[in-house]
Amino acid sequence: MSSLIYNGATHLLTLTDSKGAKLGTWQAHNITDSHLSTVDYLHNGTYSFLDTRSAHPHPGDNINGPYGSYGIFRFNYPKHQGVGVHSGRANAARYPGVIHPTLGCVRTSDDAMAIIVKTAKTDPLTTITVQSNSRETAQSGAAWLKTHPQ
Amino acid sequence: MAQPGSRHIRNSVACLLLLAGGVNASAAPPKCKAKTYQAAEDASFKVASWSDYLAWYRAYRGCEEGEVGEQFADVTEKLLGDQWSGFAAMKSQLTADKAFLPFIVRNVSSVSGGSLMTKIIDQAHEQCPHGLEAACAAIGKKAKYVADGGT
Repeated sequence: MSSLIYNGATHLLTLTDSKGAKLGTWQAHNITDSHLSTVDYLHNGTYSFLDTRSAHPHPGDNINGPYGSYGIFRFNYPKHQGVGVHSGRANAARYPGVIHPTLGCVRTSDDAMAIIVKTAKTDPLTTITVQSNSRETAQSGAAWLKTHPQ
Repeated sequence: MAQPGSRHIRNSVACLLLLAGGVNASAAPPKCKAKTYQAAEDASFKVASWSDYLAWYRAYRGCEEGEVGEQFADVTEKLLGDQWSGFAAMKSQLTADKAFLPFIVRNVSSVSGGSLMTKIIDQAHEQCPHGLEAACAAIGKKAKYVADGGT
């Protein structure tokens, strides 16, 4: 059973297999819209996935859409719905790609999602652990990337 | 034979019901349950007009969080950007339901694609329907905040 770890301080999303071996690490952020989001930022903790073997799809999922090309892996986040991991907004004029705000979700890249989707088919996702995340680190993501060009 | 006091009581109850109805128009939306949330998600992909938007608002407001909210912000941007003329038809709804404009403004958001924000600002400023000046100002202000990089 695979799992994800999101580190809010390093802005990295790591996929591990059932033995804890790292399968991949990618840039990811939890930058939220302060006016619309009911989730200010993802609080540290471990949350179980709703979508374990495949991402939840939407009509017209594409690299520039709200969720990216592969849909969303939703997880159980207390008192909120529709929180998960997805990509999207790759070419947005403001805050393209991983730094594009969400309503509480972790946003990563289509490349990362492709690996996670492929892995989950045979090694289902169990949990995501959010660590070292805070309101400050969540909001600092966009500024951080400007000083750490990829 | 009816007692004078009973008419007074009935009138008082009627006033309370009317008052409750007016308060409910702007009251916080009910919490969105899981089954409703999935229905809200499915419906959000079918919103193609302002009448659809109003129907979604009436059926599912409160569900625009997380995944559904990210899609609905896109819907809001597309309608305000590409169907601005239809916004004028919402005048009676905006007058009757004081929660509707804040809902629209809140969904003008940094989570949407953003390609139509400048167009929304221009339309709100230059093509505001008569009688909707306050609404246009609120929408234009929020769109400018988002276009300038606000989150």
